[in-house]
This record gives sequence, C-alpha cells and structure tokens, in this order.
Amino acid sequence: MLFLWLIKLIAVLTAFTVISKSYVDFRKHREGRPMFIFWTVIWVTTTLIVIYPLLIDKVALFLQNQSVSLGTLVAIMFVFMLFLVYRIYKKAARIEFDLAQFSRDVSIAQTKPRKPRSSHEKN
Amino acid sequence: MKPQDVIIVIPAYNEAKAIHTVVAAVKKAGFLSVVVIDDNSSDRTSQVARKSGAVVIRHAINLGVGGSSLTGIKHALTTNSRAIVLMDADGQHDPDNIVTLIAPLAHGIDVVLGIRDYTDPAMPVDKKFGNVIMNLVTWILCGIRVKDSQCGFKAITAQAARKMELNGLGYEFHSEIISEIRSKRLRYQEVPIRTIYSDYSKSRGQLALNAVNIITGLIKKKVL
Repeated sequence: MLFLWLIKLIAVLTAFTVISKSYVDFRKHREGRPMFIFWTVIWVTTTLIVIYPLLIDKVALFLQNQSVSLGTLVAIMFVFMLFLVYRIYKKAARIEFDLAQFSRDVSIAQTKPRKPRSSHEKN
Repeated sequence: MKPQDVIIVIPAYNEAKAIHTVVAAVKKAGFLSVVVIDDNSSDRTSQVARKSGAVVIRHAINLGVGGSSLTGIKHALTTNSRAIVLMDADGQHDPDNIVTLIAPLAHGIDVVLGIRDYTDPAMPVDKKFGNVIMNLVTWILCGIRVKDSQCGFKAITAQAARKMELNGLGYEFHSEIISEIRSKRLRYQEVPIRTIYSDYSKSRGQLALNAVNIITGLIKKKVL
C-alpha cells in the first residue's frame, strides 16, 4: 500500500517537474505552444491515471466490457518510460539546434572580411 | 527585379564534379552574386566553387540540405539582396529559369515555388512516386496543396525570409517553407521549371525512402 502511494507521489512530482520545465521553456520561447500543450495534456492524463488507476478499468469496461487490472501496472511503468524518452528527446533536439546554429554562425563569420587590427592591438 | 538584387544560394555536398558548371551557368545567366554552402564535403567542392567565382561558406560539420539552405538564407540576409533563389548543386536546375522564377516577386509575391514536370519520362519512377506522396503529406501537415513540395528551385523575397522561422536540417526544409507560407500568410505562386536529368543528377538528390525521414521531421516540427 505504502509502495503504491510512493509511486503515485513520484508520478505527481515527475509530472509537475516536466510541466514546469516545459512551461519555462515555453515562456523563454525555446519551445512552441503546440509542444507545451501536447506535453501538458500527456502528463496531466498520465498523472490522473496513476492517481486513479480505476480510470483504466472504467475505460476498459466501457470499451470491452471487461476489467483489465494489468493496465494499472502498465500505466505506472509508462510514466517513467515517457519521462525518460521526453527528456532525452528534448535534450538531443536542443543540442542539435544549438550545434547547427553555432556551426552556421561560425561559417558565416569566417566569410566576412576581417576588420583591420588597431595600432593598440599590434603592440 | 534586377539580377543584381538577387542572390543565388546553392547548398552543396560532395558536388566537386558539377559545381563549376552550375556556378558558371548561373553567372552566364547574369546573376553574379552566387553563394555556395559547402556542407562539409570530403571532396574539393569548396575549392572548385571558389575558383568558379562563388562566395563559399563551408560548414565545420555536415548539417544537411535544410541546414545548408538556411545558412545560405542567413548569409543572404546580411547582404543588400532583395531576393534569394535556392537551387540544387547537381545541375538539375536550368539557370535560365531564374528569370521566370523571380518575375512574380516584382508583383507582390513573397515566395515562388518551382514545379518539375511529372510527366517527363526522364524523371525516375521512384522519385515521381516519392514526390506524389510528399505532396500529399505536405498538404495534410502544412495545409497547402502544392504541385511540387520537394522542388529545391525556389525564390523568396528577403522580407519574407526574415519572417520565416525555419530550422529543419534535412529535406523536410522544403515542406517547412510551405508551412511557413501558411503560418505567416505569405503570398506564393508556383511556376513550371525545366529539369535537366543527366546520369549524374539522377544519381544525386534524395531517395524515395527518405520520405519517411521527411515525414518524421515534419511531425516533429508540428507536434513537438
């Protein structure tokens, strides 16, 4: 029982962290509005499922008229998987963008004629 | 629009064999401002392009055709050019078509997209199929139905280029431009162009299977 509550707590904290980071990125224009909305919806939904695992059963009952208790476990594991994938993707995308930008700026700067050095610099 | 108002941007990767012919033909057509973006080629692309009279910007790492085109656009925006023409380095595009391509820009059009002739029997079947699929995908994801979403021959006014938010590194760059036309409410026109299919140009360019990468790139841009 305690273990389940611990997992729920971790899931809520994880979701809060991700949404906060996403919001900060959004405010700093490092992330688009569709991306921010997409991940917020994903994380709010996932957190709801972790807090109220019966939601899965209700959905399953609604869809197939049978209970799927394994779904609860899968949903909890899915939280951590999604978190890892999300953070890795975000980091990789940002590094790729920054690297491309850096390489581009350096390449363009190298083609520009250099300013003559001042007499102060010569000495 | 006068030729001196136009800058020709040619992204190139390992195009030492063709780049001289392309740059020389562009200059012969009257367009003297030519910039070749060497995407970290392992051959002599930079040296050959420089000898041909082009300004050469060489990437320290390979960024892809989209990344190179964007470097060219960013460089163009630091010059006094009023229009930017993007064209391939493999000799597939006819420099005589540049005049046709830039003509609508003088009449309030922001972006002019080249259209290749799909009925041309010289166009490889796999590329024809890939282009048709990409036109459909671009229509679904970008909201504009164009006749040739993957054509690398296009003209953009400097004003429109400043408004665009482009960051695609691969071939999705072409569809990204179409997406930006819609989101920034730019005016566009499609113009038929002549395509030169030599054995060399057929061996270059993107594979039809690259459509998967383009679609992934576009979805990333739209959703993530």
